[in-house]
Amino acid sequence: MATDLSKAKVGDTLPEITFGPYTRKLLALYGGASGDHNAVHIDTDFARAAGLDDVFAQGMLSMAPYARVVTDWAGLERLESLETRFMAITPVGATGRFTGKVVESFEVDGVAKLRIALAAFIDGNIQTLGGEAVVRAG
Amino acid sequence: MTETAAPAANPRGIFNRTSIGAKTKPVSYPVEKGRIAFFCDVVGETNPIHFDEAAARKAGFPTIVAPPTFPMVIDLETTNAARRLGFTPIFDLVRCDLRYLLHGTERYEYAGHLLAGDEITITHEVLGFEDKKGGALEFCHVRSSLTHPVRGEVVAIRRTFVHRLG
Repeated sequence: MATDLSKAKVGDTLPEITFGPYTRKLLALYGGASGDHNAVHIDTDFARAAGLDDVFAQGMLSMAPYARVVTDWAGLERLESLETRFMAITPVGATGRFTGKVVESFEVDGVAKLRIALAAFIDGNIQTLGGEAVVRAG
Repeated sequence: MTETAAPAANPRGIFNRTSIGAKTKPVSYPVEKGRIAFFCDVVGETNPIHFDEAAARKAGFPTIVAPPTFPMVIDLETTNAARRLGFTPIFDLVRCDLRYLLHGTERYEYAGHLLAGDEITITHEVLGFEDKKGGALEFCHVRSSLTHPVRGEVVAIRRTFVHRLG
């Protein structure tokens, strides 16, 4: 199912992924699945008492489909590193769009590698995550 | 770890800057296929290598393999376990204040894979602190090592915690 990366080149775009909508149920389930019990993501009463309008999604929840842009394309076995910066919160009801693009082709000790720029957006084209992954191309 | 190695404290800062160089006590975590399946269902991961033994083997893995952001599960569940065991979790060691805390960055370096049945030990090390925007933001850098008793360090996590003070 993974792509033949020997033909990949700088500028190639990876297939996009859509994820969501981010419902309260999804946030509650991710709290349980991840072990992140921070009430600001799952308890509206707590969020309002903290001065927020509502709960908002765990950033790490979005990092899963963000990673999947790369692993669906390259295969998990090729993934060397993955990083993100959290840029904006994802409110309840939003839908996420996740993109990837090959930005560099390089070699380390004779092993061909690709650097992939990754990004996540919610409605209104607001960027929520940004960063990169490195995969082995050989 | 010495007092002199710590940077000058931000008068508005909250992090415990004397924790620079400190490490948390190791805590172990059993990687279970049921938890991997639950995690995958929630995040929309449908690749069968994460829940079907035969598919995982066919793809070249010795057994069911965890998805790339699963290290967070190990991190958080061992934090919960540290509290149960009476150890100081990383959040308390660096003194995170949930009222002001933001997650700045998250980076994974994979030397191997987390497999169902693994017993993984995690240790966190406080790398340092930084102030930005004239002290309106303070940053704490942490490196976490996920280690298998035979395969060694499987994943390293680099994370930045941020306090928004402005």
